[in-house]
Amino acid sequence: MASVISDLNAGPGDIRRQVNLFLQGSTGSGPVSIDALSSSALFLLRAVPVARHAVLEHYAMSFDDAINTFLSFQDGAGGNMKEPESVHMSALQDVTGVLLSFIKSNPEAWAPVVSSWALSLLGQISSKYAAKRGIQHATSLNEVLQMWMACPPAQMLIEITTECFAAMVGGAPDMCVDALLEASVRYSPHFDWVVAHIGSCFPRTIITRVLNCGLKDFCSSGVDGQDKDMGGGGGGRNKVPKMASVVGILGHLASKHSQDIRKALMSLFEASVRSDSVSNKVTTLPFLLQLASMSDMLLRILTTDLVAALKPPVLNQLHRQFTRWKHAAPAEYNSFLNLVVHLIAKSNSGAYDIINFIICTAAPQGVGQGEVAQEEVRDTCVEIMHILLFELQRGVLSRKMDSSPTDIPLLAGLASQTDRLTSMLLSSEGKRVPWLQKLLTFTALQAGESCAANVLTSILFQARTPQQLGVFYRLKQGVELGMPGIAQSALVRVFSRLESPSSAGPSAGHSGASPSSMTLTALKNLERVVIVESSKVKRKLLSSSTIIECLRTRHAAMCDFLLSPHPAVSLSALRLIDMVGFPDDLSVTLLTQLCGAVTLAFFASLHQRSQTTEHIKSARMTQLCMSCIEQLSRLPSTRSLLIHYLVEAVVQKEHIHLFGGRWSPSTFASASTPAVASVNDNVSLMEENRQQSLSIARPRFHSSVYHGGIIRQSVKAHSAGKVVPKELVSRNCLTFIETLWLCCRELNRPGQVLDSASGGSEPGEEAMETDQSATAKGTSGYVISESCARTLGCAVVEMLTLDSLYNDVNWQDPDFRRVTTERDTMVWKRVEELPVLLSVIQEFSSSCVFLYYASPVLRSLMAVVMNQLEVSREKLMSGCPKHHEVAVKLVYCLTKGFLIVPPLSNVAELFPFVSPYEGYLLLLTLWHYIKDNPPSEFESEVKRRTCDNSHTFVVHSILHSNIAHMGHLCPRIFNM
Amino acid sequence: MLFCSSCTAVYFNRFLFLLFLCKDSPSVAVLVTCGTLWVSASMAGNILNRLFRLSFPDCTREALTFLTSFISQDCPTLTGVNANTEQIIVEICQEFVLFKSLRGPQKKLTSVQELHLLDMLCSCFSEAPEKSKYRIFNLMFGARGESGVNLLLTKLVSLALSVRCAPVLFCAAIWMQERDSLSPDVKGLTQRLVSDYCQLYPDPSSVFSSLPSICALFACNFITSATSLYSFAGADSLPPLSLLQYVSDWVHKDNTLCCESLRQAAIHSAYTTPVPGLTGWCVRGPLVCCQLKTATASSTDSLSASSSSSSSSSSSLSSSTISAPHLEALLQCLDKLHLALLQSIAFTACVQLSPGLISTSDLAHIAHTLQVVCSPQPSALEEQACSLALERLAQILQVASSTSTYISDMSKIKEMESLSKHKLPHNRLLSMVLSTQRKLGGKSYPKMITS
Repeated sequence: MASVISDLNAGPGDIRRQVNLFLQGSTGSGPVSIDALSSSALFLLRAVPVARHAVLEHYAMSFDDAINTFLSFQDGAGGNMKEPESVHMSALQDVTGVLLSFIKSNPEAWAPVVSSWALSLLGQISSKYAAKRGIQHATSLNEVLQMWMACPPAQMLIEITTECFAAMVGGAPDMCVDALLEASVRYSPHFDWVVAHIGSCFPRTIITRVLNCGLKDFCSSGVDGQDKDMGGGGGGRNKVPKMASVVGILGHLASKHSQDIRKALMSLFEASVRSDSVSNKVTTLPFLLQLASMSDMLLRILTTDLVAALKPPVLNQLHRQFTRWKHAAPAEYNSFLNLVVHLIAKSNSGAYDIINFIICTAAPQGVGQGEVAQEEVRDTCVEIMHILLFELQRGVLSRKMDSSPTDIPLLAGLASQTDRLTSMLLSSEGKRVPWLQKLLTFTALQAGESCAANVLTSILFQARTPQQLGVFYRLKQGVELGMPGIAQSALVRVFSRLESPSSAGPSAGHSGASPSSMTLTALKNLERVVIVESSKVKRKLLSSSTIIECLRTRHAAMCDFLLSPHPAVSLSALRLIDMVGFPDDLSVTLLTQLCGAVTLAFFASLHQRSQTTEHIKSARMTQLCMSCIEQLSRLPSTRSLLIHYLVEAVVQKEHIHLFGGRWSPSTFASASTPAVASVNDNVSLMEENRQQSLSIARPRFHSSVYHGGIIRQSVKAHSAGKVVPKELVSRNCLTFIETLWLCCRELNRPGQVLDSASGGSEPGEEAMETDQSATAKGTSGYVISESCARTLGCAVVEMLTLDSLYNDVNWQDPDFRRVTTERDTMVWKRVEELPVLLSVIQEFSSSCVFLYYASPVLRSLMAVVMNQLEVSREKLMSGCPKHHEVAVKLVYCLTKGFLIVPPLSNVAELFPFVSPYEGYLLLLTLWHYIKDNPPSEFESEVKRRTCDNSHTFVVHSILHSNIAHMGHLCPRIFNM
Repeated sequence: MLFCSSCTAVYFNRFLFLLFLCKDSPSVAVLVTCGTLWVSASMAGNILNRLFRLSFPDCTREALTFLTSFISQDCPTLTGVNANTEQIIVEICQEFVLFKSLRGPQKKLTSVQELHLLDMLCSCFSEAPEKSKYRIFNLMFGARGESGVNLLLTKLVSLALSVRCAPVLFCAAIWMQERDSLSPDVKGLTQRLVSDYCQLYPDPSSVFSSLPSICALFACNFITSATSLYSFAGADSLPPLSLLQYVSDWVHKDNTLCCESLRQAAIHSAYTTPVPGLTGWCVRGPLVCCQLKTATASSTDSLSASSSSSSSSSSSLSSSTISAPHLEALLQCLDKLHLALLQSIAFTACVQLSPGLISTSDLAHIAHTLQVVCSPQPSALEEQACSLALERLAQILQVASSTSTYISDMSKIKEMESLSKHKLPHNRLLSMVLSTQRKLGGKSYPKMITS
């Protein structure tokens, strides 16, 4: 033993001397240099065990001094502070080295001693110098940490502490964490940086241990609280600081070690589920929740992980564990529930998951596999849900009161998940529905108008049944309490979504629906909504519906949908337009657009009728179109537009076949679709001219015009015209005429004799019979308006005649028809190909105005018939059936329009019996009469006309010459 | 007897003890009776007032000087001394040495000041006259049940060890013997000393290794207390290696060390010797070490896996992680100690000290504990260790009985015999020794004293 050189083997005299030296130096009672003092202190530390406390105390002061010097030096107060500081520093470095070597060589014995010293010293120093400049201004923990780590003495201390922890973590982690926590509580918040630093050095251990310490503390105080009910307050007071420091430490570590914290929390929870000890079981979960209630960060972790971990088996297990406690302490159980609810209301990020979890547990839906939560677990969840809803309601409504929004993180979290919530709501049934409905309402109210509008929009886009749509009404009702204008903004949202097909909604992706079907759903839902709203308005429940009002401003969008390639979409749009009606203040462009679109839709519906078997649907669509047209035609500006559109459309190549017509390029090339014809036939003007120059330009006369058509425009492969059944054709014609009638009619002014336009309807139209009678009844008070008659007449003439050169209203001398032979023939051909126009003329001929304008056409037809009859070698006029028929119709029209008067108007009776030439003569008579009494726009004037004998001479003579078989007709013709 | 009416119970006892000292040791009696001090009440009041006006180091220094001189010159039979004087002395001691203020707020010394105080106490005891040392010591530390005072005593002893202040150690040794070395107070003192000198500073220290030469009685009582503190019955009661090294060295070098306390038995009625405890160490040691060795070997592989995962059960595992070299060193020390112990017992026979170092009941107790330690199905190694333990037991019994330094009890002998027959593995030596003991029946030992 003698040879071992160690300070412990120093002689007693030495020790005595050193002790005296140290005492003198540290108490300042003797002249001892700093160097000597520190060397004696080091000696004592190494040689005299009992002096270690004193030496450490001495060094605590030295550290304090050094830090003070350093800080004031930093402040710029010291210019020549460097000298003593370096002395200090070397002494401190020495002692640090010694302590570190102690810890290294004998960790079990030294680490606790040194760590408790270092911790308390750090605590004292940090709280003492917290007010110093520099530190004072540091705001974040990170800055404080940087601040202190830049200070060498503090850095040494931290190094020592870290070493101690490293030594102790393996053997007695509880002890060191306890010490740390205690210090943290005592010197909080100045001590936080130490905890943060140490924690980041040993994250796993510190986190686990800190949690365990907290839990232990919580357990013991919880047990105390149970034992003495009145002592709960005292226990709570003790409990909170420790919890607070636990939370604080975890908070510091969260930024870098959130994964570790997460793992630690979850393992704590799992351990509690598996553990056998009763107190652990019952307290861990409350402990975790208590922690969560104190820190948002922990709450975030818990909400994501804990909720994921709470599967039915776990829940049942928890239920078994908690049953006894629940019965034992109902008051605590209640506060526990309230805590849960509070936490739920506070959680933001995992809001949807939590709600989903609670709802799924409370009201399981569908066939769940595996274990299902027990009845009581479900009841508890139901209870939680109820409390939660109540709390939320209170929160949302209290916000209303004082207009300062109370922040409810749950609702804020849900606001971003409304789409999922909505789909969940739509797919749910039973108890879930009212819950989700309320939740959504609160969310919408809290999150503001755009979110609310979003919710309503997505319901409109996703609801597929009336029940699902019912949610829309209820939500709207709820939200309208807080936001009166929500319906409008929702509709704005709906239309913006409808109008951008690419973003037809984020839900389009996951529901797998195509944009058009989304659109369709939305439109259908809108339709239903409008039906309900309008019925409400009708029943005087509402003064006016905002939805309808708003939809009225949306005609432009609707117009686009009318033109949609999907018939269902356009049908819906049409229905909507029809129901909503047209406000008076629509712009002209929009009106024009609408007219065009409706007309197109009308013809599309007719097409559809001819193609599909779904007659009822297409008939419905046709009817809707008609109703729209009727509504549109109330506006003066649109009437003529509509008439033009209709008439123009009816002669279009695409639609002709619907009305029993044929399309041939020869007749229409130059008239209605010149561009199309030239494009189709690739006829260039230059080529044409070249041809002309090569051949002799022959005048167009009889032989060249009549049969061959225009040379080089031979009959092309005749478009294998879609053959439409005759029945359908006549129905189409009728529909068309009825539509025109709807456009043209106006209320009868008193004193005017009316003549039903549909009087001459052809029989055998069962399908339209009801409509017909309805219209007939409806029209009983209507007549054709003059302006419309004018427009229609002009339109018809325009369609049928080649040019306006000879479109004089007045009839010239009958021989003048030789001049106009070509154009007359053209008119004839066109009428032949467009039988519907003849029907139109027939139907509207009751208006003398119409007839006045359409007279050129009639004259052309008459001329063609006369030309034919004049040269015909048939025995009877009925031998040429076409001409005979047209003649009969002509006479009918002229009669109706008062262009001819009895007895001339009755000559049609004679036609079946006369020879063609006699027929020619009769028509000639009519022509002469009309020439003498030209057409007039003024009905009153026309009606006063009579027929004098000069015009009846031909009739008389024909009757006389054929008296044998026409005698019986005399009384009828002459009204005898 | 004069003080009966006026003194408190504590001081009555204290003075009775002084009287007892006078009676038993002529030299002390002379010292106590020859000096006289007459202190008037007013004078005592003056000193108290003066001390209260002084600050820390000075007031304590003054107080110590005063106490030393007062007790040194004290004559208990003096008529002028009244109750007030005793109270003032006690108060001075409480206020300025122990800093347990009876009036006013407690004054808390800093660690540096405490070191200063300890230093002053050491010098005080060194300088005080021989006769009054223990009286001063008793005045300060005689009262029972004050942990603060015991702590101060511990620190004082620790410093005394460092500076080799024999007077303090001697007083402390007497204090230990008086308190009984197995009492909690003494155990606390021992534990702190062990932690200071064996755990914080495990390197061999000249202070501790030369302890018997500084104060043999203290070393003896310290060993007794240490053997009861660390019973060597399992993993959690192993003595620190350095302590075992010190003890075996001490006993090996100085065979009289173990009977130091026995010598004092002449003065103090109560005494304990370190021999039973050391025997326990020597006997149980091999078996326990062997068990720990196998436990360590078997748990190293499982431990490496489990230590990282389990955190809750690590406390029980950590104690079993004693390295094999450490156990080997312990065993070596125990071998040395056993020899030293046998030599010590043999030596005691030479000096003819009564009544005995060890009793049959101690040995029977050791046999019992051995049975507890011994596992029902021992391995080959363990059997070997067990037979070693039983042989050591037999050796000590034989040596003790042949040197007639033990207190025999027939019933205990029989008990041990039945124990060795039925509960413990067979050991030829032990059964032979036991049977001879039974046959002798204690007759051949003239110095047998039944207690």
